[in-house]
Amino acid sequence: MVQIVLQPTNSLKEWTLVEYQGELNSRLGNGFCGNKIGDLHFNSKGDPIMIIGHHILYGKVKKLEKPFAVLVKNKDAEMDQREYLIKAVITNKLIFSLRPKPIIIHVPKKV
Amino acid sequence: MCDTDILSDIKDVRARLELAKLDIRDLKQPTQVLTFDEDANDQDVTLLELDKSVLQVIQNGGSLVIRGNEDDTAVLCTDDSTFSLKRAVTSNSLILVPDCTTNKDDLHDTIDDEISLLYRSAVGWKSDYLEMQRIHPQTSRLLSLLQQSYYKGPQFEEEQAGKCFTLSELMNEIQASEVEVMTFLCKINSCCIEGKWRLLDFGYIVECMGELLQLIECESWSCGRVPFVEAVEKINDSGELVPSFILKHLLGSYGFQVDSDEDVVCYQLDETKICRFFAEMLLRDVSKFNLKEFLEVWKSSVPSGMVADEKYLLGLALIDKTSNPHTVKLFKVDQLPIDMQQRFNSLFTVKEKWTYEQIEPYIEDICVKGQTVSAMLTKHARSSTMDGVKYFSTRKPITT
Repeated sequence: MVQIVLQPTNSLKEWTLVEYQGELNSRLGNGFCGNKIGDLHFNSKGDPIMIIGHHILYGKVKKLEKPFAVLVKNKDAEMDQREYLIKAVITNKLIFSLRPKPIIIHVPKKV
Repeated sequence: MCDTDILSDIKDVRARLELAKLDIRDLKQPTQVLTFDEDANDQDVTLLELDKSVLQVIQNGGSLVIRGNEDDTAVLCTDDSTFSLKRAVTSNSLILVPDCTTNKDDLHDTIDDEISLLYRSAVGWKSDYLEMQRIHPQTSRLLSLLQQSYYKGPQFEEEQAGKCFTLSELMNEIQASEVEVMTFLCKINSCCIEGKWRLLDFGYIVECMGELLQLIECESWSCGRVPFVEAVEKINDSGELVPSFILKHLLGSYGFQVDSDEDVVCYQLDETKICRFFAEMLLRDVSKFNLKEFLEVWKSSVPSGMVADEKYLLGLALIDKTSNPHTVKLFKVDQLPIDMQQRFNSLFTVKEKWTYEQIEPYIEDICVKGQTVSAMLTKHARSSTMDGVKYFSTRKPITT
């Protein structure tokens, strides 16, 4: 029987999940790697606000009812033994569930 | 990053805030700029949604194991629980940020419109994750493995053809946690013989218990106080009839060790277990038994001092009072499916209407943590009341 061990790392980190409604697209069409996502602000109530491209997103910090474990394949494991490391747990997420609002830059002047 | 870069980034952040018509005085600091790593991807990392109990296991440094053969659906086990694993897909984008300030207490008000900037990297993104759900361990396979080679006594061991298993060999075959496997082995009275977990052949148990009960009667011992060493000696004084480890196993299976003041190890036989043993012995070779006759034979066969009560048959045998004459037949929980829906289907195929008391022993063994028999009945059965008695019957046409 195949047995895959999930081993927590000694210093279990706490990561954050940022969740957007729908798909995130790269403006330059060159994938995500190395690209900037946006500015993350928090208002006085502690709610997150993100500016991504020409959009502004209002969100909430939410405690996950069911937390996540972050699994990464252990490349140092012996050949015949498959092992994953539990690198971190995620108990909080920033959720942006509202529709992004466009930022209007050029306001046409009244003629 | 050099200072001029940071300064120009701060300028950019400020410009974007203005365009977005956000007043910096309403915001907290630091401001965080999120950027994907150069090697960010959606493959290297897997997200596993955790049950609360499993989070604790991980936080205490405990490991988890995913088990399964090629054809199995994978299950995940802690030391003591089993969970099913399922891939869930979300239409949302999930971005993973290892280091991110989100806690209100780590943020401070903006003073003098000053922006303090932090760069945060996102290591990956996901749109799927693994979900886990507590399930009943896959014990039916465990049972069928042990049934390959019943123990019939030392003299039959040489011709024993079936395979026998150690605990680690069983763990390698069964999709369940070690504690659940051990609990199940105890429940089915499996006996560890020379490191292998075995089931005793029922005929052999009958033989050995016969010797024991006969001795108890001869010596006029009380069933509440059977001296172990003396019993072993007396049973085996003219050639080995019952090995001492078997006797010990049987006394433990059908009774329990009692405290004694002297240095003598004593066992008390359990009335329920002994009565059930006799009932099974009477019922196992017949398809049905006339209830009245059965009760007479049963009551007269149990050791003196024990009273065979009809309630001991719950979860072991079914009494049919709709037939004339009333009948009773053996119906053991072991052979029933461990899937809840399938379990209810088989129960309602055998018998249309059940009282709570009757059905409870056939449901409770597969209830996992958080499930109760009543809740399962509400979900899978329909209740009706007849002559003031509540009955449970199927919710749907029986599928075969």
